[in-house]
Formats: sequence, C-alpha cells, structure tokens
Amino acid sequence: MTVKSRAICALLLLLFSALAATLAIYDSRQRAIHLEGNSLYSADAVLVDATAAQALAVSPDGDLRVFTELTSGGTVRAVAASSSARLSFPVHAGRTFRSGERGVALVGSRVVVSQGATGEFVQLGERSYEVVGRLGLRENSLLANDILVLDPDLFDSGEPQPLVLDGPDAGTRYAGLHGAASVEHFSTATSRRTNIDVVSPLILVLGAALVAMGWVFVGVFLSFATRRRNLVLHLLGVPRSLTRLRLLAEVTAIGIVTAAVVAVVSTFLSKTDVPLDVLGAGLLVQSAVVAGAFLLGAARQGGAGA
Amino acid sequence: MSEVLIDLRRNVVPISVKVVVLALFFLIVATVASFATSVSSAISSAFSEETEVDLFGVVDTLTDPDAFYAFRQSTRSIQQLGAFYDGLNTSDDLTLLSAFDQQIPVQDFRGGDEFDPGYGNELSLTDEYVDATSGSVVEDVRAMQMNRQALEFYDIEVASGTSIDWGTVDYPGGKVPVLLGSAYEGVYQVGERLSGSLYLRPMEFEVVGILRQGSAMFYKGEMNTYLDSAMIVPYPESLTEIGSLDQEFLGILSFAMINADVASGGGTGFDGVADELRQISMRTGFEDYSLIGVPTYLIQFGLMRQLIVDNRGLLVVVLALLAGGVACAGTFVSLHLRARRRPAASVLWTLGWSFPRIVRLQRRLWMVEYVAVGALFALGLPLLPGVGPGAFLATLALMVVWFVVDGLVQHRLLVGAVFAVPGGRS
Repeated sequence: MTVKSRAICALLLLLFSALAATLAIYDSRQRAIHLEGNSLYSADAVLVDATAAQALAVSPDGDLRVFTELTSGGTVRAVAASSSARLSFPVHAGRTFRSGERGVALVGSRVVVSQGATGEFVQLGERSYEVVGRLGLRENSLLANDILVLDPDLFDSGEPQPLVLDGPDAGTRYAGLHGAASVEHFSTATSRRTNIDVVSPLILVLGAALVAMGWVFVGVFLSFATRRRNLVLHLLGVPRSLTRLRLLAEVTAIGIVTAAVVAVVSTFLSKTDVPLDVLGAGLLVQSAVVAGAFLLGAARQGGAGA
Repeated sequence: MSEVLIDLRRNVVPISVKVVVLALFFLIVATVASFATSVSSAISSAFSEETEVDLFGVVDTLTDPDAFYAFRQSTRSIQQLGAFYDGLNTSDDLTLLSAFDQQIPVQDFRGGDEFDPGYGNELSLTDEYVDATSGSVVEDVRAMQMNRQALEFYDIEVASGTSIDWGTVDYPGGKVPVLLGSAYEGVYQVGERLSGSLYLRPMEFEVVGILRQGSAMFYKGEMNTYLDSAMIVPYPESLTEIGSLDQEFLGILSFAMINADVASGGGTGFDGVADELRQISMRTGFEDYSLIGVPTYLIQFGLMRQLIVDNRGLLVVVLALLAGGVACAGTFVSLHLRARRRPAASVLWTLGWSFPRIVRLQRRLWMVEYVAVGALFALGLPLLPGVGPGAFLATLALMVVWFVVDGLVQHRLLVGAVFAVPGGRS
C-alpha cells in the first residue's frame, strides 16, 4: 500500500471508530439519565414475589439485580446481584459498585454520613456501610436523599417478599420459569414523559448500521486503491492470497492502532472506563466487515482482469 | 443518458455506500427531531410556567376516630365542611387540586390484572367478591377521583372521545362520566357504561374518553403518578348543591375531597394561602383543617424538567457529532468518486464536449444520488415512531441544505478534475 492509501485508511478507520465511540458513550449516558429518572430502575424492571436467591436464579450468569425497600417511601433500599452483574449506577463523585463486592453503599448528596478512618460511612440499624460513591448525575439530583446498600444479608432468605428484579429481559426470563402472572410491571419513570425509550434503541441501531457501512467503504476503497499494485504482484508470480493476506494484516494493524487512540481519547473526554470486552468485540466486527468488503471487491476485480 | 448509466455501473459501490450512509443519517435526524418535539410537548404541558407553582396541602385534623365519627353524625358540621370545600374550590386566589385514589368496585369487569389496585405495588392482587349493597359480583378497579381544576392543571387530555362535561356530573342521580387510561384501549369503548359504586353508593359510570398515553399527575409526593391503567372519576362541582344526599356517603366524600393540594402562583406564599383559608373558614364555620407545605413538588418539578432538557441536549450533541462524521465520510466518498470519474471526464473534454455539457452530465449523476437518498429515506420513515410534521419538515430542510452544499462541493471537485488534464484543450 502506498503511504497515501495507508493514511486514508487510517483516517477513515479513525473517523468511524470515533463515531462508534460516540454512540457507545451516548448509550451509557442515556442509561444513566434513565436510571436517575426512574429511581435507579431500568425499563426492564419488574415486581416479583420471591426470595432474592429464587429471583436471581433465573439467569445465573446474567446481569440481574434485585432491590428491596428497607423503609416505606423507598429512599433506603438494599440491592443484591449475581456475581457477574454490572452494577453501574449514575454517580457524580466516587465510583459505582464493582462486581462481587458487598457491604458498601451509594448515597445521595444530601445524605448525612459519618467520617471514618478509611472513608465515609453510613449507618443502617446496627450495620455500618462504607460509602463508595455519591448518587446522581449532579450534586442536586432526584436521588439526593437515596441510600442504596449492596448487602445480600438484608434479604430475607426464607420467605418470599416483594422484590424488584432488574436487568436485561428480567420480566420475560422470570415469567418463562414461573408463569406470566408472577411478574407485575410498574413504572414511575420520567422517561415515559417523552418517547425516548423508543427513540434511543432506534438511534443505536441506525448509528451501528451507519458505522458498518463506513467499514464496508474502507474495504471497498482498499480494493480499489491497491488494484494495480496487486495485479503487478500477481503478474510477478506472488500468489493472490498472500498479497491479500498481507494487506488485511496491515489494515487490521491500522485498525487496532486507531481503535486504541479513539479508546484513550474517549476515556479521557467522557471520564468513564471503556469495557475491554466491548472494545474487543467491536474490533473483531470491524476487521471482519473490512476484510469481507475488501475480498469481495478484489474478487470482482480479479475475475474481470486488469 | 448512456454516459450516466456507464458511470453508475462503474461506480455503483461507492455511490451505494454514500447513498445508504446519508439515508441512515437523515433517518437519525428525523428520529432526534421527533424526540425534540416530544420533549417540547412534555415541557409545555406538564412542566410549563403555569404549573411551576408552590404547592401546599390541606389536611383535616380529625385524626381521632371518635372525633371523626362524631363529626360525621352532625348534619350541620358536614354542611359547614361542604361550604368550606366550595369556598376553596371557587376561590380566585388559589387553585384547589383535589384528588384521591379510592378504588372502585365494578360489576362484570373485563380488564386484566394490570387494572387491579394491588398491581405494580407491594399490595397483593384482590379477587372478585360479592358486593354487600348490590348483591352482585364485583372486582376492585384502580381509580383516581379528581376535581375539574386538577384535571386542567395536570393537562390530562384524551386521545379519543371527549373530556369530562362537568355539567353532566350527576351524583344525586348516580350517573357520572368517566375517563379511562390509555391501557384500557381495546378493553372498553367510548360510550359503554360500567356499573359500580363509590363509597358504597351505587353509580353508573359512562366512558366518555380514553386518555393520552403517558398522562400523569403529582400525587402523594410522586411526580410521575401515571394514569394509564386508572379510571378517572370526576368529583361533584359543588358539595353544598348535593347537600341533601345521604349523610354517610356525603360525610366520607366530603372528607376525601377536602384532603387536597393547593396551588398558588404569583408568589402568594404560605402565609397568603393560610390567610385565604382562614377567611373561608370564618365564613363557613369549618375549622378542623391544617395547611402544610409540599416542597417535594417544586423540587421534583425542577429536577425532572432539567433531566428531560439534558436528555435533549445529549441527543443534539450526538447528532452534531454524527453530522460532522457523516460530512467527512461523504467528502471522502466524493473525492474517491472524483478520482474514479476523472479519466472519463477528461476524455469527454478531449473529445470536444463543452464544459457546460460535462457539468450537465455530472449533475444528472448527483441527482441520481440525491433521489436515491430521498427514496431510501421515504422507505425507512414509516418504521420510525411518530415523526410529526414539524420534525419531518426540519429533516427535509436539512436534507435540501445538505444536497446543495454537496452539489457545490462536487462541482468544485469536477472543475478541478477536468481542467487538471495535462496536454488537453485549453
């Protein structure tokens, strides 16, 4: 590849990786807004009557969590989750819960905490929980008076109790095992005031299609830009497959570098960590689409001759 | 014409990529525009200046059960209470928002579990039972009774049918028009009658309208109390006018109605509202009330409105970034297409085609691109949710501007391509 082609490839991949990163940051920000407007429940949350263990058992490796109210009025709640669950709640200071933690709490900005040797603590009855973060997108938020503790022991292990089960497809999974009548839907979500719950997934789908088209173009452009050189190499006796493999290896390397650059910049700008598995999956799809488009384009040209 | 076809066949892949990318982008624009309209409508109805007022609560102070019972035995006391309510309801200085979610037993109820008062909260679902007064089998249904000012204040509107005609609210005759939440769509039709009772008094409820989806009000500290699965029952306009009804019913109804919110705009403040209440109390003789502040209303009001506006801001920023990216991508493809078209254009120039003729040819090619984008956009538009006329026009305007700029850019590139041929015609 010429330097110019490499540069164009790099720029295009940078551009579409940046668009993909924008969509990913938008998605996480949108989720945070939804959680703040719905008392930390997502749009999939349902009400069930079960023990915490029963509720979480419907998806043992999944991303499920259960809530119970510790006071009437619902501002003090306990949460328990499966060990691999991602508990990303909107915080403006500190951090959210990490998978597998226990005995910690997230509180709103107006909650009074006591200063301890190793940090801040909030007292619930006889137990003391370390405060790891402050709830809400800003200091003045709808969650300013809320307390959320991560403690499975606060759930009654014997008797079924009303619990909120939350996570992707929480309602359908639970209903699948226990019957449709066992789940109740509820919502006091601010998001229902507008059509954002319909708009947001649509934007993500359309945006993903747009980014995919971009990657297709990179592959197509590559096949056009290297046509003459590949033909000459073929005439010189280099096997076509070798030429194509080398090109794809170069493009994949450029792709990894541009993705890394975009990941670093977006982590810096959005102050949130990029989940490595999402990044890896994205790179894989990008490489696959670009390679596919390139090979298709090259095959068309190879068959048609010079 | 054949030149156009030749070019299209040769460049079908880059052109398709550009067309699809642009069509997807404009579909995203239309989606964001529809969200923006939805935000504007939410803010103008539920979070408008008229509703950004101080809210207070009026509660009765007869918490002792014996005192409560004794009060309701006295006809004179109930009449004083009725006059007090009417005084508040007709006052010019404050807006009485009276609402209560007393469940309504209904005969032969056709709806499912989601209309049960225990659905979606920690209460358990109720079963059918035999109503003591009518002897028939009834089921408790979630309901919200409210006065006219509450209905208007919270901008509760119908999607089908008509809103409540307050002149037809007939408590003595037992016939009351009701509105059903949007979840009732398909369960009951406008015009049907439900037989039920309110506080043990048999009533016939006529369905006059079905609410818009997402209708909500502030109730007991929750700003987002949605009414989608509730039956809205209007309160009588005046308690004194129905003073001849049976005491037991009138007593309970009056106490339900007097525990209400009071909205006061124009900076009247707690003391101003308390003054007004004191005057009405002195005029009517009812004194067992108390005024409390309800600060959660304004707090939730402000924060929720901010959240909704922030959400719109987020989408606009994402759209702007996407627009920048798509503009860059589009320019790349245009440059690529210029490189592909350069040999053909320079050959035509050398063959003697006049420059305007080459431009006309190129313009036809661009027209094909724009028409293709428009066609794909029109295909995808019905799949998007509720894109209203405003959103559609805004997207169309953006499309036109985009095509004009794109045309200018391509024209510049074309001039560069044609006149850069070495050794060609001068």
